[in-house]
Amino acid sequence: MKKALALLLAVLMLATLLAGCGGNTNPETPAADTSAADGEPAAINFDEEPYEVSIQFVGLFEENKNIANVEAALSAITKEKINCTVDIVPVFIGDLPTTTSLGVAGDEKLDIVVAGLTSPLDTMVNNEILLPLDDLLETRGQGVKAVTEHVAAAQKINGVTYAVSGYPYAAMSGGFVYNKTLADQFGIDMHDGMTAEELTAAAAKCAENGVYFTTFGSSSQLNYKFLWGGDYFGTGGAFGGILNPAESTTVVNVFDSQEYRDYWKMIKSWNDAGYLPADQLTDTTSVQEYFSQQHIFGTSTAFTPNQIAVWLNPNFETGIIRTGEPSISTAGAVEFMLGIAANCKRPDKAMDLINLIYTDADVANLLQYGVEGTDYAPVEGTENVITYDGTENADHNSYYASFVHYGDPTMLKIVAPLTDSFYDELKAFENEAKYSQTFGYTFDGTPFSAEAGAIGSLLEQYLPALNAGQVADVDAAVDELVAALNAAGMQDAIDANQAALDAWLAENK
Amino acid sequence: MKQDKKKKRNFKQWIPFYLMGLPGLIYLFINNYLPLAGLQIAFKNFSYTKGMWDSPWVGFKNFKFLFRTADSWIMIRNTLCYNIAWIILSAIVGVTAAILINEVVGKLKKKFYMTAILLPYLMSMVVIAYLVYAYLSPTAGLFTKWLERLTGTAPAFYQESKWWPFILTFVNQWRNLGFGMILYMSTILGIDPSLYEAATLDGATRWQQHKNITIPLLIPTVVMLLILSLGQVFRSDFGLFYQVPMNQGSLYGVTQTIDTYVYRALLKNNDVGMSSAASFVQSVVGFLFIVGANKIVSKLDKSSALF
Repeated sequence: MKKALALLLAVLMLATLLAGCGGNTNPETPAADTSAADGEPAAINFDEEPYEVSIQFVGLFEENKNIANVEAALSAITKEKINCTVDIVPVFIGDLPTTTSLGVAGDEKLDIVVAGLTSPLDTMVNNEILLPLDDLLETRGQGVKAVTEHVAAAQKINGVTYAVSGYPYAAMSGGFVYNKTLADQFGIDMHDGMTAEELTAAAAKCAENGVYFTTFGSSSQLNYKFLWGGDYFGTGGAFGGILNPAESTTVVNVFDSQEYRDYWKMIKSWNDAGYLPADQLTDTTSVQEYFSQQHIFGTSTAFTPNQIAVWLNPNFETGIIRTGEPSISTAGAVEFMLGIAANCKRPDKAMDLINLIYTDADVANLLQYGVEGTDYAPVEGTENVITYDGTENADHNSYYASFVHYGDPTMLKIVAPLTDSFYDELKAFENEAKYSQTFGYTFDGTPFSAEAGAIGSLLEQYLPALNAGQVADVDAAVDELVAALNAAGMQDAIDANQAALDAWLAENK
Repeated sequence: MKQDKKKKRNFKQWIPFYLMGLPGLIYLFINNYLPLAGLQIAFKNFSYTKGMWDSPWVGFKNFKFLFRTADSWIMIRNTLCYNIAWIILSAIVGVTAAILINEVVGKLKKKFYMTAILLPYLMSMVVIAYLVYAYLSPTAGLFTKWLERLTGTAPAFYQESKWWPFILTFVNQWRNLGFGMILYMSTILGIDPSLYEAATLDGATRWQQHKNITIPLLIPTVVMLLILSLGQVFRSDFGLFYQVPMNQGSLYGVTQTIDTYVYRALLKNNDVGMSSAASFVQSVVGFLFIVGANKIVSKLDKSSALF
């Protein structure tokens, strides 16, 4: 009897095991007959029941009280134009990677997903989270194709498009955002193209006045905005980088370069002179908090024509300078993208909506800023400038997109203090930027995932102290780091990367 | 035949108890047995679309990253040494504390001490990390400033690794003492008081009573806890090794364990297969340790063994 019970239990266990875990053995294949094979633009079927397209809306802790009204306003337009309704799905940025991957694994309803923001495009493609988009773009996405044309190369992995750039104006340069009120008070002249010496002199003046110049926190990121313009491969440059990608195509271990050593020596001299807080490495206060509380003078940041908007503070005037030439790199173009989930039931409708977002100013503005009057108000005397002040959205709780950009930036309204001249500035900045020679190239690091893990851990170990300038001897610390990186196989990955890049260049030039 | 019948009756008699055990069994099954199927992920190139069963096999590729770094040896050494040292230490400290608390006269006092000792066990590691930081911070730490007053200089605790084996041991013992102590105390309370009475009549001192009655009777509990904790010997308290040293790179030599390495290595790479591989190794080593330790114990004293 006991034996029989045990057997029964074992059978039961096995059965539940298979039932419980086999839920995804046969993921429903997405409707395949959605694109016309001959490349002709496909017509919208208005006879069927409108399909509800879900779209991820990534934020921090915003409440988004007005989201239902935004959805209703959007759906009214989309029903008429492409016969679908819109479901905006707010996702906390920290949960984005797991929400998306587990959603696909569990075959939950997902249509338009955000790519690039927290998981690099190639990782998502390797994990088979995204659908290939080329056929859909051809048949239903001509509008979005036109807007993202000049960054199209960066949207591809192995020649296949998997996502479209959410912000196709990809030019960026190094920058330094600073407290203009303090600069005027201390008599510091901040101007575009400041050299290391000039910045150091400014730092000294801040120290005389009892304000830290900047802080780096405990960061292991390859976050050298002072050294802008490099092209980095793998997470944190684990597979090497090119320091001057407009001119060079040689992949090097950036940590071993003279530029980095010089940069770290400058930071160390700042730290030794007391321009940086002494407890950077253990202090968890963010740079943003330091800046808004006026404990630091400024911080390095990527420069784009609208970057200053992120740093505004009601208590003082903010300024921003460019410290380098603008460039367009693959990394910049793929930072924020829209893709279609691999388990999407109606990729055709998802693409219809993406296309509409890039071609219809009303849809893009609704999605980006919400409903006029409730979520924002136009600034009088301007064409396209809006403000949150004085609306229900002043505290960003009504409808606020903190991490997402939808549609063609030249169609979107802009938030004060940007002015109507922003669009021209944006285009001029984009035209001025140099393309990196490797634009569109991505290195498939899958064979080196073991190395990437080991390298990632080493970077976590050595970089924070170097970045904060808190090492006894920069050269000794860098030598130690480089030796450890080589022992972890970084050079093998760089060599493979160089070989793949050379092959790519031969094919694409 | 007669015996068979007796067996059947016996079994029937036990049915209510089996039923009572059923919810627990179901819980164990769902929580501890169902996920066993996931062990295969360690040997697969996991794809979210294909799912667990259809992802392609890749052999031992996922395990490579654990041994790809020159620090493999350091993290394995740290994990094993800290664990073994702490298992022994916590048995000694826990038994001592249990006996001492048991000696406290007065119910209120006893409860007060027990609560005070148990309290840290209920605190989150993040809170503990900041408590430690309040003492050791380079700019405003209580202990750092005190040392500075006394000796003129204070070590930079968050940059010198030599202090951390002691700091971590202290924090670990301070935090976990309460839990072990309660387990030992419950055993002590279960000891037949007549034994002590007899000992007192024979003129045994307090110390002799503990040496000859309390400690020998505690041994089975100590052994059981020892065997159980050996199963965790390849794992480490992530919060303790990551949060408490404030994730300082210069301390990795003594704070890097398998868990923190896996976290740091995969933090940005998000590789399910590789993290499963690490967890697989930890489970297998833990299993071997438990079975091995149990075997040794059952050789020495069959009644103390778990199975």
